[in-house]
Amino acid sequence: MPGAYDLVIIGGGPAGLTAGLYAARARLNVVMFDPTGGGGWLVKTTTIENYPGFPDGIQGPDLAELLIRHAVKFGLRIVEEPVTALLARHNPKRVVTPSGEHEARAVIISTGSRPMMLGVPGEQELQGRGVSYCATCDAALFEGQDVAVVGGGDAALDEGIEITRHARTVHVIHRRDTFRAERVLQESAFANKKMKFIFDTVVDSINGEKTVGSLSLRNVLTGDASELKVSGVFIFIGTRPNTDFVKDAVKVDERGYIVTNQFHETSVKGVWAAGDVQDKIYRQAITGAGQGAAAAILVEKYLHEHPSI
Amino acid sequence: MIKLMDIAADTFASEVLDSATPVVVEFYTQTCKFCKRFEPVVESLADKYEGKVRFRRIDAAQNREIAVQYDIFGVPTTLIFRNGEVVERISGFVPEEELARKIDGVLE
Repeated sequence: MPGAYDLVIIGGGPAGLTAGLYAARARLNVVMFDPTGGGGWLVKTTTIENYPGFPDGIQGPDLAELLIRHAVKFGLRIVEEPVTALLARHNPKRVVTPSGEHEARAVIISTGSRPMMLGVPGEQELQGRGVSYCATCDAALFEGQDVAVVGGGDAALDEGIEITRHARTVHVIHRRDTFRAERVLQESAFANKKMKFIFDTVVDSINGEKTVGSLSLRNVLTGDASELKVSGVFIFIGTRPNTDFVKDAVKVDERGYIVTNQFHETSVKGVWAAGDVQDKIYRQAITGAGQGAAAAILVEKYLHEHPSI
Repeated sequence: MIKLMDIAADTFASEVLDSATPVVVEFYTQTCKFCKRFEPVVESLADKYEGKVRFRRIDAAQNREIAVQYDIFGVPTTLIFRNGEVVERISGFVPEEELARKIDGVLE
């Protein structure tokens, strides 16, 4: 098929970049579209301590740069454009971006996920004014101040620990009485003198005129309301898959995750999905990378078996 | 491509507030790799609007007083100044076309 790419990869986090590396090494004619140039979620994270091969940990953005360099070295081309639609019913598939339509014999969707919002009053209005979803970006702006972290998973504790390097106190607010985070992260957090913990509690509103001044909290067991004075709140309560642009093209579940089988195939032949966009269970940089590799290997096999597509 | 010139608290007034042309100011932090990704977008516009709009960047963590004065508690944040006043505020990473539209709006 002249003019068509063998493979278009949509989204450049660990899954997409690893798929890109494998596809490029298989000498497929491959391109990746990613509006931020690749790296995905890693670019906004701090220390990654559980990616094998980095016993001393590695900063998320540094790992992102390494993954990009590795894939680009073997010929992956990354185009800094968002994909606005995927037309997958016919072969070749068509991938739509602001610069035009691109034909693809196969597609891997690896657009990952984005942070979930609390959905409380003040959150939207005070973004960039004390409401943050990126500790590595914004923690330095809260030098010596009191801030809150909302959430109880790996991200909440990991980023919370990072924020203590700048803030005076980090209040971790969690709606349950135990954390979901890795045990080793919990141990570090509980040992950190700058961290305070508020369990069984939710945020009802984020308050402030021009910047965040306080949070209205409510204990879910007793119903007691209270106010916590903070100048910032970092929200890590989970993520939502970035699948709005493919909802009509491939099957997604009720939460928006792309439905895949054990071979990372979507409901449409010739379209694969890898990483957080289809993963509700593991959601690690390493599992994303593994899924990306698997998808690329299967794409290569598929293209070899279907030379006329 | 034009590199964004860094300004600081002591040059903010002369570079931004006293400017005869509109000024786009990019607030960033050293640790914000996401801001680094946004820089080429702003630099590309700095090329396109050369002579009509001044583009500068400022480290919000190193220049706390300026950041606090403009309620910057998140980066990247882009402020557009005209005659010393903030006329546009853009939070986060936005596509080049969107930022260009905001600048065009200020130039009209």
